[in-house]
Amino acid sequence: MNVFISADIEGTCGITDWSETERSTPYEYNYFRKQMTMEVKAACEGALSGGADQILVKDAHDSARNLDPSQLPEAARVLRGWSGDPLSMMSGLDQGSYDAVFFTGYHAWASCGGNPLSHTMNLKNDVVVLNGVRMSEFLMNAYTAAYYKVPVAFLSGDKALCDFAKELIPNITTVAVNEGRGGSVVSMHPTPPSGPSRRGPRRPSRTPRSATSPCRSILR
Amino acid sequence: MTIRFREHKRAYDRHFYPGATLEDEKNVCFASDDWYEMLRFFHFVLSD
Repeated sequence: MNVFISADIEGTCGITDWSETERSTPYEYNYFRKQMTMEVKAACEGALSGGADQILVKDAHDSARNLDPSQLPEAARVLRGWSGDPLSMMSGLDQGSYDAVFFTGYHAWASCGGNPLSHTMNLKNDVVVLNGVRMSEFLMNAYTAAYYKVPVAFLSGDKALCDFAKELIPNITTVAVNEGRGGSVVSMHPTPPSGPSRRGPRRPSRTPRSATSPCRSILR
Repeated sequence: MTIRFREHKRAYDRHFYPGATLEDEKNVCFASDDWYEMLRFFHFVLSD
């Protein structure tokens, strides 16, 4: 039972400004690079507790060299960099047999007010419309998952995208870590998602672990 | 599908992708029944 995770950063808990997404501004970026890793780690733990044996994580932001693999479970392999194939943020999905797709750190579509960092692929378009719907990277990659007949089970990112995802895929598990308004974001607490904690019920890992329910139903 | 580019120069450049059309100065359109062909279009027109 294999799970594929595509990890972006503009929907990571608390992220608000482009400088926080770019390696060229390490003072702002490094915190969110770690948070991105912790959210992927939580998703991996959810997948494993749901019965996954192997996980492939596609680092899917910018350089595709953001995640710290040493922080992830041993069952997780990480695909870093860009191969150049058209699957892009879903690269690797066609190279194996997968039972579920998870998305972490995903963000709303170009021109959406629900995230100050909303965009669709590059920053050189105002809007991308597919069959009358403003296309997000989530929508694009969910269709790619469908193309390879792999169900989408989990999404974490901003509230606008999570609301859209629940309309598209009613049984998806989502975690809305941010809610954007103009250039601002209100975020949930970024408590590290693993390790013993008395605040367990409020940990970000809680909801990714709840992805074990759909994951389990898909995988078993 | 339609991509509305921020700059007309980029729309003009990218509309030369095989099968794409320039709807107006900034809008590039493309259609296919094969999702992989859509991904190929995104790869060359919507990336970077």
